[in-house]
Order: sequence, then structure tokens, then C-alpha cells
Amino acid sequence: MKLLITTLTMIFISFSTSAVTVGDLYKYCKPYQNNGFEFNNLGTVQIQNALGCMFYLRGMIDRGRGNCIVLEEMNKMNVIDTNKLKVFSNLTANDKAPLNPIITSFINYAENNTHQWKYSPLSYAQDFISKKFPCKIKE
Amino acid sequence: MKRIFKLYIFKLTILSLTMIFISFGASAYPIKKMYQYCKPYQNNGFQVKSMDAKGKINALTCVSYMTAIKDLGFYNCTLLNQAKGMGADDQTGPFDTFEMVKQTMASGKAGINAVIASFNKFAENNPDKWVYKSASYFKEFLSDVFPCKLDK
Repeated sequence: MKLLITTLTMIFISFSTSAVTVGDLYKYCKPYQNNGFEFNNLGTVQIQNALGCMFYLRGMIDRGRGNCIVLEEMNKMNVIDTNKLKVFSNLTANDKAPLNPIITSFINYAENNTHQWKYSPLSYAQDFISKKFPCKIKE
Repeated sequence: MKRIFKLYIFKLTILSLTMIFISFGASAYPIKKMYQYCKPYQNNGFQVKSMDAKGKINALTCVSYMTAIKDLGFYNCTLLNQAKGMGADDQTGPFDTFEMVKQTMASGKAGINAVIASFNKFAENNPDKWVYKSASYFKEFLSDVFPCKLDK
């Protein structure tokens, strides 16, 4: 199971169909975080970038939460092997998560992994969203 | 007969999951608000040039949110195909796991403007659902319109 998850992770590290990269999103998010998650004193472009950051990550969180709910319900219905569900939940699902901590989590991740800036942030959602707010699939 | 029963149960399960998913809550970004952000952008030919500052910000909000949702759907689709290629879809158990996950969590490749148009159309046809979260109807305006294709 772990090998499968690791292999899939490796595959998706190189996944880059999205036009948005880690580097782009970092540039959008960082000034907003530095400003205490406030728009005051930010320039027009910085506000626009902040909104791009906020709503891109909000979309990722909402979809991940939705996926988690589907997986939790599938698990309750006992129609799919729990191990299979865990493969999906580890990569694409998360619990409810507030936005500002996720922005901070993403920024920390980006700063610690500058070699991944050219790739899609979707490839690392498990690191900066799912690991912090995991989707809990019960045995 | 057994196959028809299996298909019936499968469809019932998908429907149940959809209902559960839809009811996961009203939110700060309900369909109504997102429609207000997205519709003027569509009406303006998916351009922001002649829009005022507020219109541009709303359009940016719409594009950012929808981009994340569509990208994640396609990401899941690619993930399913890769996992299937690795033999994870062993066809054990009573249901086609991958088909079920595909229908509820994944979507095919789609352009952002097409996704926004699909979302707006869904919102216009379902005003009774405007209080619910936009992402809750992922299946209706994205997966069903731009389905994920699983490799044979």
C-alpha cells in the first residue's frame, strides 16, 4: 500500500497540466501573508494576486473536503475495500480546513521546496493540505 | 438478472453519494455568490478589459476557484488512470470501484471558460440550489459534462 502511494506520488510530482505553478502561487500568496492576511496597504496588483491565491487554495480545500466526504460515505457503505479508499484519500482528500493556515502551510512548503516551483501545486496538496488536515477513513 | 441488480445498486450508491455530498453544507462560497462573480465575466466574452475594478476582482475570484476545481478533477482522473495501469483496479468486490470514484471525484480535461459556462448554466437551471457550496455540484457541472475517461 505504501509503495503504491509513494509511486503514485512520484508520478504526480511531474504532473503539470495546470498553468498555475508552485512558484506562481507563492508569489501571489506571500505578500498577503506578510501583510497579516489583510488587504490594507497592498497595491492593486497585490490585492488581485492575493485573491488569486485565496480562491485557488479555497477551491482545492473545498474539492478535497468533498472528496473526503464521498470516501467516508463509501467506507460507511462498506462497498469498497478500505485500503483502496486510503490510496485515494491520501492523495486527493482532506478534512475541513481554514484558509489562512493553509496559505501559511503552502508558503512554508514552497519555501522549503524551491526545486519544485515549476510544478503544479496540485501535486503537493497532500503535503500542505492533506497532511495538516487529513481525511480520516476509519478501519 | 444479477447484472441488472448490480447496476441498479451501483446507480443507487452513486445517487446516495451525490445526495450526501450535496448536503455537506451551505458555505461562504455558495452557488449564488459564485454565479454573481462568474456570470458578468461570461457576458463580457471571458475578457476583463472593459470591466470595472470590482468586476475584475469578481472575475478573478471566479477563475481562480473554478481553475482549482477543474484542475483537481483532472488530477484525480489522471491518478485513477495511473493507479489502474499499476493494477490497483483488481475488480475484486461487488462494485467497479474505479468507475464509482471516477463518477464522484474526477473529470476530464476542460478549458476554464467552458467550465465557467457550464457552471453558469447549471446555476441558472437550478436556482433552488443557490445556497449550497459550488464545489458540491462538481459532478453536475464538471464530471458529467467533461467526463474522465478511464483507459481500458
